[in-house]
Amino acid sequence: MDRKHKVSNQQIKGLVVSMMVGIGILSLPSVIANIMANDGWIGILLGGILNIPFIIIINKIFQLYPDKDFFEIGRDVLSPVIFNIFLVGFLMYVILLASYVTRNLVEVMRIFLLDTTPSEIIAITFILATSYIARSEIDIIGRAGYHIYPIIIGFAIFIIIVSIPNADFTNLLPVFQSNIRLVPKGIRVSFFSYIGFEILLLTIPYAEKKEKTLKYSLMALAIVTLIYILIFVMALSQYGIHQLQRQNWPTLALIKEIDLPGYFIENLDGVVMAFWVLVIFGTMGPAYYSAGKILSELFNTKTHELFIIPLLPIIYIVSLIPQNLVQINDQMVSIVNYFAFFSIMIMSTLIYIVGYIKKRRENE
Amino acid sequence: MQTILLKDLEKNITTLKTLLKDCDDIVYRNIEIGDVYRVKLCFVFVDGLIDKTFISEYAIQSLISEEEIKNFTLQGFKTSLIDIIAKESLATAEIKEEFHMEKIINFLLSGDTILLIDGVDKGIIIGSRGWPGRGIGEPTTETVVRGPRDGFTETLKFNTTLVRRRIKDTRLKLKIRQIGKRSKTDVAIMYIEDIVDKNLLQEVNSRIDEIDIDAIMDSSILENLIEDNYLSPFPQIENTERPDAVAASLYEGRVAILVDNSPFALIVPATIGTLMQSSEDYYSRWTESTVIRILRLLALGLSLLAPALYVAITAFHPGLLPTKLAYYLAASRINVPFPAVVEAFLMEITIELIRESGTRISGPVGTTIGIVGGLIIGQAAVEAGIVSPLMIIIVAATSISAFAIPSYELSAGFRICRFIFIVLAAIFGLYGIMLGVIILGTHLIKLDSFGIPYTSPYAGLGIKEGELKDTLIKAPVQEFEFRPVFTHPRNKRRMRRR
Repeated sequence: MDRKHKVSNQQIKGLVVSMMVGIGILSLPSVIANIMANDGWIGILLGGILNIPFIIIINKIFQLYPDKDFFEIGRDVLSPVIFNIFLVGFLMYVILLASYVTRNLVEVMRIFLLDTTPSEIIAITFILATSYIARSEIDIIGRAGYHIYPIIIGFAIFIIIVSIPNADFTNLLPVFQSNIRLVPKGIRVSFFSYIGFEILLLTIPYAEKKEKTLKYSLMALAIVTLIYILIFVMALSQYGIHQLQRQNWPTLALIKEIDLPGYFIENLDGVVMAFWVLVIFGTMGPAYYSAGKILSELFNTKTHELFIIPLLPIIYIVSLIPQNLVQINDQMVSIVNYFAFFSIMIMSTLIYIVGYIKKRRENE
Repeated sequence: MQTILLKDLEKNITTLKTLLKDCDDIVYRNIEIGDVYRVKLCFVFVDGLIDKTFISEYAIQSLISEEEIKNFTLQGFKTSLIDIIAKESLATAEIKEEFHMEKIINFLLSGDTILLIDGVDKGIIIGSRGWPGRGIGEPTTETVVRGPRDGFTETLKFNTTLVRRRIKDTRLKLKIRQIGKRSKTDVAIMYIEDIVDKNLLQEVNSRIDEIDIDAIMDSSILENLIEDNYLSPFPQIENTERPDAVAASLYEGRVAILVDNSPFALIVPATIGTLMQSSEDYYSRWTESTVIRILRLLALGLSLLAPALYVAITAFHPGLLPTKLAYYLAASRINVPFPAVVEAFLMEITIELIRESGTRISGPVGTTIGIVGGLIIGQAAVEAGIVSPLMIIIVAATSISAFAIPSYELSAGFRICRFIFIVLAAIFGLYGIMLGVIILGTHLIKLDSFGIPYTSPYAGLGIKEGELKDTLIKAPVQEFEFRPVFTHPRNKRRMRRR
């Protein structure tokens, strides 16, 4: 495997955060509020906690085989045929994720910034702009993640701070009132708002200090959990549960509410939306890159660059399949989630268990 | 073709004359020394490249009046004649012996004097370089309020001396090599041996080794030849006219490349952080430098985005502005017959023309251009109703901001991007600007300067808390206990605090 490219642990942290935070930051508060009402934050917290084992498993895989990259490990452990089936699933997942992200961006842009521009144009320009970074190697992806990371943190802090003046924290009450049977359903939604850490599979082999990667990837998960909970709390305290449940993008609505006197810019939502494009880019870039990498593995080519342009029309077409917002947020999300579960959770757990048993046998 | 000198002086001179045919600036000065046994000598030099008084007084004079040579008669002594001349007779500082004709010609054309002796198959090279050069003056592009005022000139030797004076350390190394098959330009690579990263030095050397070109006119040509991505609009190598900036960079573990005939030294690696610094930052108080650095970053953003934002807001999102401002904007544009993008392009091109003509023509005509451009075009354009007054303000602010960036090349790179941003804003509004930011950001992230990420130390590879002390803020000198990490210095400690 090519050792030329290096990724530092700080970059991994930034990359995981920028990959995880994307669509979720806009829609999660209302989605979870619809299921768990005032106790949505419990669902978000539990969803985050449930992701810890998978992050640990991914890290453990690379501790078992420290000198190999993900594809080599997978082929050795699961035999090429089975691993290729999983890889196809993984490929479908990243393509779907990229399309889902693109389509969401298109919808948000059409509502907030460009109401007359056709969806097709917005989609194709965004995919084209992202294809530039998708052509580069993992060290560049790491750097990009690290640069987007402060933007995301700033974005979150900004939203939280500007919504404090209008917040009414009594809206948070009552807590612990929701039906306990709704918790699994809530977790199912919030659990998948953390997907994005699968980029670790492609990143860890190139980490500078592998022994510390686990710490940094868990830190990233903690940061994202904190951001999600805080934004949920702010949205809830702003609107109260009934109004929150009816919002599509409560986070954006939060920004729309702000009207501090003496502002140079009156409607902050347009500006914040523009920055949100960068947040989405942080999810889209690594996903697009992963798709290229997997294809290059499946077809056994030296570089993944030549698959980036052929992927463009695929992502474009898939992103335009859903007819409306409901289809995007219900059907498309659940398809993405199924593929995510199959390709990330099941595949990495399987690789770890089989790899662990094989290693033990070798040692005996 | 390697011609070796012969013992016969006449033949050597004939070879020289055939090789240097039709070069009328070559002077051959024949003398004869000795009393009983006469020996013929010949001085060869290029008129104008050498210090003539020096050669006449300390070489020719001392040879003619030399007692030992006059008394020298024995035939057998002839073999060591060159030693006697070189060691005892010539009162000059620099002397070399050479027997390859090509190398001799090389020295000759560099400004050394060649002494050929009859019966000896070697030539003596007397260091006599001395030509009219510009004196050391204040650098014109990087002036400072506080700090040293000497700047590089066109002569390599002066320039290396200016750096050497600031680093009196045996570990300061200076390697001179010649680049250019015809121009044979001297290029000096300077570094401090125990600080510089070996890989960086190796990379610099190997890139220079690969160059195969006939002439190097200026360090900028060398810069283009060795940089990582020559298609990029951004410079990946820093250049400076200031010896103190070069010395400071060497102490940071970087490598400086000085080129003869160029007052600009190259420093590698360069990052966007180092290009945004000015030497003055280190000479003024830390509070002021910090504020100025933040201001510079703001200037960078303005120079890149201001006209594009104007276009995007007027054409797509007037709702973003406060109501009063939106009304004012609409009122000021009511007589303007063009869409905002045409207005922006018109004014940007005008200001670029004023800038360009002002740079080429200095003195009284330049001032006229400034007045004509600034006053008449601006004022008249508004009164004629071709552009709105707000546009004039934005264009003016943009070009002032562009000049606030210390590195001219970096600022020029962003200036080119500004036009692309205007086009993107005209098509997609704010979303277009963000697309531009994504593409430009990707490009900057992808850039490397000699293996160092261009966006260091913000790139996050080996980032340490101490790194940020010299980026957007500039901490007091007491805080700089360690050298910056992005250059991978081998010797890390800079100072110890009491």
